[in-house]
Amino acid sequence: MISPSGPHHAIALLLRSRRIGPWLAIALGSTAALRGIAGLATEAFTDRPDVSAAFGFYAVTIAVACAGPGLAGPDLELDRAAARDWRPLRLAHVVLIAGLVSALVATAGSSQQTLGPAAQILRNTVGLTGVLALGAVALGVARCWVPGVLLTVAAPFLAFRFGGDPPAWAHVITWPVEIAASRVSWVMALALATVGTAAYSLLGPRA
Amino acid sequence: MSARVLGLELRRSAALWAGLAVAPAALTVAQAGNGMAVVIGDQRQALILMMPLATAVGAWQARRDRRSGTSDLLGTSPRPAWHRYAHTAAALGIGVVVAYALILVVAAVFAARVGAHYPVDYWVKSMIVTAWLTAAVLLGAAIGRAISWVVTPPLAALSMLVGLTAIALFTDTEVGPGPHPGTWLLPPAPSYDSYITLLTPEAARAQLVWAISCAAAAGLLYVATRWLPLVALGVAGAGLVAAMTLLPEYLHQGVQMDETAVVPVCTPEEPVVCALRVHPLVLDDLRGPGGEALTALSERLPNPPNRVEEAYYSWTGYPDPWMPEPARDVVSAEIYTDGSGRLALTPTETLWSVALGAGTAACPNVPQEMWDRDATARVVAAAWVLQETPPEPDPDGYFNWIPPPNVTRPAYEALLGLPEDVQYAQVAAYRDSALACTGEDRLALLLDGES
Amino acid sequence: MVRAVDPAETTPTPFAWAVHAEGLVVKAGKRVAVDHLDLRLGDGIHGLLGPNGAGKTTLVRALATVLKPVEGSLEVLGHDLTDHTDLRPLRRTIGYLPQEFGFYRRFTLREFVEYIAWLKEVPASEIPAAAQRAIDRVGLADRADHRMKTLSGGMVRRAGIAQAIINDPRVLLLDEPTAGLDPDQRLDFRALLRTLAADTCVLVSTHLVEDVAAACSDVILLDEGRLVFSGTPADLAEAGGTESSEAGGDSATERGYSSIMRAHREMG
Repeated sequence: MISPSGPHHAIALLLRSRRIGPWLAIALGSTAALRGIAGLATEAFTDRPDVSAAFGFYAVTIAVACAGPGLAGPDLELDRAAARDWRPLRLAHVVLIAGLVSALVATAGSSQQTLGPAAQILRNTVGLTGVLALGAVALGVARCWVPGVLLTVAAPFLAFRFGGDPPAWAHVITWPVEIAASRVSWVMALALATVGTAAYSLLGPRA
Repeated sequence: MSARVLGLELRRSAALWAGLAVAPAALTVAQAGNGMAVVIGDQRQALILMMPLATAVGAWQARRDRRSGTSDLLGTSPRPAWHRYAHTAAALGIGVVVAYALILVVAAVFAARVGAHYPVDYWVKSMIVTAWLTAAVLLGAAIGRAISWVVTPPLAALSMLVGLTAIALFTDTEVGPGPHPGTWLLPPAPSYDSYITLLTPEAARAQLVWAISCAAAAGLLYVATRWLPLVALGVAGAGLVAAMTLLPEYLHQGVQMDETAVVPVCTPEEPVVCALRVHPLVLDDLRGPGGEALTALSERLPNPPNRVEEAYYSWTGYPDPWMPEPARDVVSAEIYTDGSGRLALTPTETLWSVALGAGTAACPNVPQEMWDRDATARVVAAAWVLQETPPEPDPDGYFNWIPPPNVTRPAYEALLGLPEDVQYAQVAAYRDSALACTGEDRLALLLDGES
Repeated sequence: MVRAVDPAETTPTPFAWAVHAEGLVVKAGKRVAVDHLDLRLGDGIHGLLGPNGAGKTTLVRALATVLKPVEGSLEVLGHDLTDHTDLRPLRRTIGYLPQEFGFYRRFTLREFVEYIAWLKEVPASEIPAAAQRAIDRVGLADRADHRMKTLSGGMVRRAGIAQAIINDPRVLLLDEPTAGLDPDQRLDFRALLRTLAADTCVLVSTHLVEDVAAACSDVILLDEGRLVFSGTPADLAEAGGTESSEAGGDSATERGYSSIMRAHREMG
């Protein structure tokens, strides 16, 4: 294929086919909205850092979940029949999602940590992107947001119910709302990221 | 309404998934032994889990036409569009209501098996939960129909979660004597709920009216064509106004203690030990250790109590928490139960729990700097009655507030070092002071005879 | 085959043509797709031919009451379609198969056809029988209780035809009904057309010239939204001249089609 500007043009076309523009718009808008709400909340609750961290978590989840539809092209059969090796592209795609979302949310919340500490944002982004990728492999692109939303809804609730002392199994769900110093939460996030990214890169999304 | 099409929608739409969104409520069945007030209270708390999930299901269902590309075909149908939407809305609503009803039936069966207590506002509160679940799924459908993007289901669900969290947060302030009145209107129950709290009829009606008007408004928004969305907003607004007129100004005016829940259920023979009507199975576990403690107290005290009654406690009460009035001839036992309605304490823990403070309940007016001394006094008094050395605190158990042995044991030894009649007199004086909840230093009273 | 007739239909019809368009202009998005078209269709099977972008689908959609005309007059069964007020009585008597036929994948075939019957306000007691009849007529009786997503492309098309005829329509609009059908199924389709009631106006929009030649009583050619030819298939075949003429095509009808198109385009 001869194109005017070579690989750059091809990548631009690929990004357009995966509708990156609408995704960025939604991610920016939702992060801005959450930053506004979190700003009001932290003014009212200066002694509750878990509030900012929770809103940062929600911002990450929304941005990552909306990246779901872009994980596959409009026609899966066409993609599968293509000569190109999709594996490095898919890996780059997942890394791109994680990188953009963590940069976006961390920057938005950087003043006074309105959206929680940057370390938590990074951990949550990495883990949730892995969950999204795993969802795409297991459930297909149309439903890949389901595990992430289930996790987001359950994590704060369970953390609240168990107070400061969750049993061992609870960490599987409450890791995103734990503080950055919690080693278990990093282990969970990295495990999910690794498994999800590997599965998605090697296997691709389910039809 | 066509039964055929409704059946079709129930089978083929997301109605089943709407039911699954209610599944977290099933976990509350584990609390059935503590009475249905706790079960429903937990279910209301779980609304912050269930409503976003229901919203996602509703939004997913509403995208069906967009997903399937049927808009041209459906656009040529003579039947008005709202007929179609009404059937889908009915299927979603039925999915949610039936799932919740099943869970309630299971919880009720469990509760009945242990003889647990049904508060009179049980039906109203469960209808409130049902109304909120229906509102969530229909609102999701309305959003999904209006904004038919692929990302609408997760976006709607997470927006619902953020909205509920934010509203709960911003109304979590104190306004006068208690929480902000806005907490009345939140789907999840504010923390005034307890196992012995009843809503006043006005407060219950207000919450129900508001929840139902939200559900109706959401349904209208989904089914509506043309100008009906304005009607929907009007319905929600009218519901809000009606609810606000019914609601009292302060939270404490809308709740009352459930008198039928705290009726004692007692052993027929001596020693008389009583549990609360809320969870009668506790009596089986309490009668042994409770009877032992009562016997020990009657041997060691001049005016001994003649019965043990489980104490109830709820800080919902205003201005003071709800707790039984101290009485000389009653031991108010503060014990802990688990979800199956039985004691969560071992017999030894129960024995000590009844004997604490020589058979008195903890006074609520002890200032923070006096806590350790007051706790030491309670433990030493119990040790003296039971004639055992004070135990070590168990950091993972219910009695982790007990001071360590290096504090309690020397005090106990000091008390035992006094002449016998002085011991009896000081313990009796201690008990009187603990019953009256005067503000003196009871440890000094116990050990030195004066505070 | 005779359609069951309800009393309203036995009153004398106040209209002369089932479909009557004069100076009809319909837009597809911003583009004028039907350009001052005059059309009169009575009962019978009419074929609608034309190149891509000729405005066939737009015309069919306008007749199906999906699109509103921008200019001119359009009457279907005596109902005025230029403003879309109270189309319910008309829509009960129309059958429509869109070119891009969307369906609910989780529904079974029978459920989907019954659902469309309900949407078309077929009386509730008649729905099961009508659905069975429609499914039988398109030859899908053995797949009636399978989910739509298990049907192959041709079966989906036939399911589309079934839902279009479910209410015994007076006006039947079929847009590419034979797409994806194998040759045997196309023959069955032509036979089906012939079984339709004599007092039905059927409009078949298609690219397959042979289907038109075999089944239709008259043919309409559209190009760029304008009427190019109207007449019987025999007239169309004659217009093609002899085998050695310049017009392309492997059959007389195809040659007639291409020669008319060329002549129309040369005229400017």
